[in-house]
Formats: sequence, structure tokens, C-alpha cells
Amino acid sequence: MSATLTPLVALLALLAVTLLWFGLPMIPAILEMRRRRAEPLSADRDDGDPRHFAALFPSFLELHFRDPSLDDLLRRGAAQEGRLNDRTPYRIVETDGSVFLERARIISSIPALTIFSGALSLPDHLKFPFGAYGAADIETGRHAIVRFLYGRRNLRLKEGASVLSWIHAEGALTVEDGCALHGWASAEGSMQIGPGVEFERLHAERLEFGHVSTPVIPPPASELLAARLPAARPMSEDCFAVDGDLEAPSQTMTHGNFVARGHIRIGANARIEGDLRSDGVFQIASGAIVVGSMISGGDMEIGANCQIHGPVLAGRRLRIRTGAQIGREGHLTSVIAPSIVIEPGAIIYGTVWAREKGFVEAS
Amino acid sequence: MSAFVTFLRCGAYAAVALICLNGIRRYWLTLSRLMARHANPYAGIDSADWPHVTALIPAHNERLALPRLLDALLEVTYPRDRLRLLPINDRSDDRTGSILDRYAARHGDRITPFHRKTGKPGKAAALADATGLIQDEIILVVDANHIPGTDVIRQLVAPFFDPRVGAVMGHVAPRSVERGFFARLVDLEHLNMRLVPLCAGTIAAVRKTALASIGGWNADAACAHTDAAFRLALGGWQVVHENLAGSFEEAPTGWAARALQLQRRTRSHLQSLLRYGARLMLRRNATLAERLGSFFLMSEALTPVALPGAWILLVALFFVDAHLPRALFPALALGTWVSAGNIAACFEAGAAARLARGSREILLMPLTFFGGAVNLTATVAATISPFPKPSSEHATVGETPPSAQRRTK
Repeated sequence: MSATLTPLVALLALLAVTLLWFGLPMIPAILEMRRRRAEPLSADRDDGDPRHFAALFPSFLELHFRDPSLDDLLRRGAAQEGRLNDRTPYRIVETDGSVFLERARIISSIPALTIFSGALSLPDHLKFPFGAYGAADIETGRHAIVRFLYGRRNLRLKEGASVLSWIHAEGALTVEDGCALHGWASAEGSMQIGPGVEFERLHAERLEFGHVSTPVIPPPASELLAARLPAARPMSEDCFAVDGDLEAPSQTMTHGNFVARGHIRIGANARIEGDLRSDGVFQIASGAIVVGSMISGGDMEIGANCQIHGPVLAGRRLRIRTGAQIGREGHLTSVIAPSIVIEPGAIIYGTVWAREKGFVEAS
Repeated sequence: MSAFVTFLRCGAYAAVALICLNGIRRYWLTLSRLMARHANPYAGIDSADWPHVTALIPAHNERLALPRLLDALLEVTYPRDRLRLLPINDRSDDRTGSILDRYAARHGDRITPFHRKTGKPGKAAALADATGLIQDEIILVVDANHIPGTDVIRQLVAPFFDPRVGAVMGHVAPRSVERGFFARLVDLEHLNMRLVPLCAGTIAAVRKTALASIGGWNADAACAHTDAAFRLALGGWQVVHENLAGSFEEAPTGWAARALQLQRRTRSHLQSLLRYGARLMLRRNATLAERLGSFFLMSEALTPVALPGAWILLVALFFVDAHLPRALFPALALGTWVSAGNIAACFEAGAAARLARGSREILLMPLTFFGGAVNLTATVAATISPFPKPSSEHATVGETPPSAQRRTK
């Protein structure tokens, strides 16, 4: 009897263990299956707007200061301390900032979100690990470090100052020599960026790098000759493919969009009316004008006093020489590359995004 | 060894090799999506002189879905003066036409309805007719059962600053009214698809001049976008899958509807692959990577058929081939497990759920087996059913069709 039962028990035991083995992963699945009110999975909605944090921060503050509102508190101009709803400590600095400045001389770091109600010039080397908000013009000290800084008017970062996360000015933003802008920097007015500044993502109506001199006026289009380009295969009525390199001679004019498998070289003072794409190196000599976009899979160099109207994208390194202008007044554009080096004197209207490192060269 | 056995052996070798290659590809894609740095060069373009865009919305009896889509499109962040909506009332016999007229009366500067009362049935034919009315350089095609995100148009249009880009496909996430078990499994499967840049095309944009250069929309195609995407690639244009351009699609409500949707999708992909796959692989000027990409795209589509094919061939060989290579069996088992079995589904779903930042859907992973079974059955059924004969006639972009001319006068 036992001899016949043993294999049966063994078989049943094996079946039970097997079922258990396969069933175990099903337990969380079956429990989860019974939930009916799950949310749909998210579709990515990050639009990558460089003003993202700046746009959210004022409404974040408004949530915490309801009665009285932040504007009322700032109008009163009295000092106040407390904690926001998320337990972040904050300190409202009185309008003239005398008490705050007195204290700032003996401590190196402000352990609270600092809200300035009046215009102030801050001492050197002061750190703001909880960020700062200025209702009026704010000037940081030299080598100051701020986690983030929001200015309702103009902001000035003095020599060697660092922003760790983001900075936004509703007016103009001035960044002096040797500052470091980690994260996003934006201004609703213009932005002036001094030599030796490191940056990642910048956005303003007009970005001036270093000292900008009077722009060089290009020769009129009527003085240019029609370019003779190498054999190009038409992809459509206005787009042409070039299997090798594309070279547009100096002082010539070319119409149409071009896609080159090789390198692209645009000669001095040449004018291209169309978009350009190169899988290799892209070089544009001084004074050339591209009325369109420039896309490169490799390195790109934009010569002195060039004018580019459309977006500029480089797959590796991008160098922008002095006097170059990208975008136009009222016509913003985007400049994107892993590594961007900009010489003083260049102007960009719109957005600059150095995915790895951006740097303004010293004069 | 008889010729018959040799034939069976060659078939089995080819099927097993295809399955194994596809498995490697799927792992490579998933690992690359998880670990590699992703160069999405166009995603950062937030400031530009945005081109004028016309959004075509083919709608056949879509009175319920259309208002929701139009409301969403009127709210997008794209510059108002550069986006025109052209909904196509494609021979509807419900209130679709009157709903469109009501919207046009309210937003006359932004919505121009096109009432299509005659002509060849089908979305591709409707698109071909409506494209003739468009002057703008960029054409956006949105299915009526979609709800686009607020930034989706900007993200779809940004790649067109690259003159090589001919078309851009967006990413689609399902959304259903009933958030039950079925809807959540479909969520997971869509997340799987997100890892593979298929030309789903339910939200897509195309450059008008590029479309004209390949002869316009193909009115015979099972899916006009997929067909156009293949022909654009043959013409040297780049087709971009823009993962960030997300929109929601109304998900099917049951397994039968899901199987039907999968069959339609499989047929459209297979039709395009059969028509253009080999040409894409052998085209002049293509790089090795492009050729390999084309080959793997074909292997992806053929794997669901190769799988039961390999099983049948190996069972037949077991009985007729005395010297059957034993290595075939473990290779088939491994290949099947990796490329089409639970490992692939779980691995991709797990990776996708991780990318969805801590979604609880990851707990449902073991149940993807049932979804996988429906997928396999639907794709095999779609693959072995006959295809309509292709026509060489394409609708030409830029020429207004007679039906449209009558309407616009």
C-alpha cells in the first residue's frame, strides 16, 4: 500500500511545488489586477522649456503666502521669519536690508529661503543653500553661491559667483566674468554674459557674450554671384542631396536646402538661402549668411561676423566666433550642441543649450 | 538525404536564425533604451521661427471623439497664427459634419472643415484628397480618437528644421474610460512598443515637398503613414520617431477589439515591408547600419510567423530526418523564449514600467503572457491572410481632387 502511495504522493508534491513555483509571481499580479482605479501611464510632457522652474516658482510661493499675500508682506518691508508649508525655512529681509547685511558679515551661509523686499548689493562669498527671491534689483557678491535665484527686476551675478540650479530675471540678467551657471538661466529682458563664464542652458530675447562691438554690414545680396555647386541629387523641388562634401565658394549666393553626407564648407561672405545638413564637419567662414537652419552630425564652426537665421544643432563641438549673430531681433532661435565655446562679441537671440559644457572664452 | 528533408532543414535553420536574431535585437533595443545616452537633437529646439502647419484630421462617424480632439488642438502651445486645423468629414452619416461646422463658425480663423462626400473610401484616400487643399509646408495627421499633449505639435515640427527629415512619428499612449485589467495590460503592451520605433503613425507629421517627391499618399495602402514612411526612406529622407511627442489614444475596450487593432496594424506593416523591405535593404547609398536596420525591421515583422513555422518544421523533421541536428532545438527554445516568449514581454514591460517612473503596472507583468498569446494569434492571422494587389497610382500632392474643388468653390 505504502509502495503505491509514495509515488503518488511524490507526484502530487511535485505538482504542488511546481504550481507554487509558477503561482508565486502571480500573487502580486492578481492583487494588483483587482485595483480598478489605476491612472493611465504617463505620456512624456516635458517640453524642455528653459523657463520651466522660473515659471513655477512664483505660484509655488503664492500657495504659501495667502493671507497676507507675499506682495503685501513685501510692501510692508518688515523682516519676518517662518517656515513654508513644506517646512522649508524662509526669511523676508527688510527693505533697506541693514540688519540682514550686518548679520551676513559674520556668517557665510543663510540657512533659509531668502526673500528680499528691496534692492540690495550683497556681500562677497555669501552662500544661499535654500535659494533667494528678489522683489527688486539684486546684486550678488563676488564668489557667492546660490542654489537658485529669482528676480522680479534685474539681477547681477558678480565675478566668480555660481548658480547651482537655476536663475531667472524678469528684467535683465548680467553675469560677470568667471561665473558658473549650472542648470538653467533665463531672462525676460536681455542677458549679458562675461568672459570665462561656464553655462549649460541660457534663454533670453538677446544674449550678449562679452563686449559686443558694432556689427559688420555684409555685402548686399545683389553683389554676389550664383554659386556653382557639385552635382547634387534632387530629393524634392527645393532639397538636394550631395553624396560627398559640399563647398559654397566665397562671395556667392545659393538657394535651396542641402543634405551632405560629407563635410560642408561655406566660403567668406557667401549667402545660403535654405537649410543645411552635414553628417561631417561644418565650417562657415567669416561674414557668411545662412537664411535657414544649420545641422551637423559632427563639429561645427561659425566664423566671425556670420549671421545665421535658423536653429543651429551640432553633434559634437560648436565654436562661435566673435561678432557672429544667431537669430534676429524678434525672431528667436535655438543653438544646441554637447560642447559650445563662444568667443566674446557674439550675439544669440533665443536659447543656447550646451548639453555637456558651455564656455565663454576670455577676450 | 532527400531534397524534401534538405528543404525542411533549410526552412528550420532560417526560421530559428530569424527568431534568435530578433531576440538579440529586442534585448539590444531595450538595454540601449535603459542604459545608453540618447541623442535627441531636436528636443531642445524651443525657440524658432516655427513654420506654418496644417493638421489633417480624418474623421468617419466620429461625433463622440472629434470635439475632444478639436478642443485639445485649440489649446496646444504652437503659435496660433501658424496652425490651421483641417478636419475631414469623410462621408460620415452621423452628426460629424454639423459638429465640424459648429466649430468652424466659432473658430473660423483656425478651423476649415473639408466635407468629403464622394471618392474612394478609406483614410488614405481622404488624406490624398485633403492634401491637395494645403499650402503649408508641414502636414500633421492626427487620428480622431487621439488627445494630443499641449506641446506635441512643437515637438513633432522641431525635427523639420533638419532638411533631411521627411516625416516625424509621435509616441502614443493608450487611455481608456474603464481602467480595468484589460486597459492596464494594453498600457503595458504600448509601453513595450515605445521601445521599438515602429511607424505607428496615428499622430505624425510630414514635409509636404517630401511627400510630393514620392508621389503623395498611396490610396491603396492599408496604413497611409507607414507606406509613406517607407517610401520616404527609399527616397533618402529621414523618418524620425519623436519619443517626447506624446499623445493619448482611445484604447480598445476588449480582447476582440484589441485583436482586430493588432491585425490591422500587422497587415499595414507587413504590406509595406513586402512592398519596400527588400528595396530598402538593397538601396544605393545606404550605410551598413541603415541596411541592418532595414533587415531587423523585417525580421521583427516576420518573427510571429517564423515562430509557429519553426515549430511545425521541427516536428516534421523529427519524424522524417534521422540525422536531425540536435542544436536546433535548444536554439529554437532559447530564441523563442527570448524574442517572443514571456522573457521578452516581461523584460520590455519591466524596462518600460521603470521608465514610467515607479508605475504599479510592473506588478502585472506575469499576466502579459495572455496579452502575448492574443498578439501572436492576431499577428499570425493577419500575416497569412491575403493582401490586396498594390496599385502603382498614388494621389498627387498639390493637385486638388475634383471632389475637393467642388467643395472649395
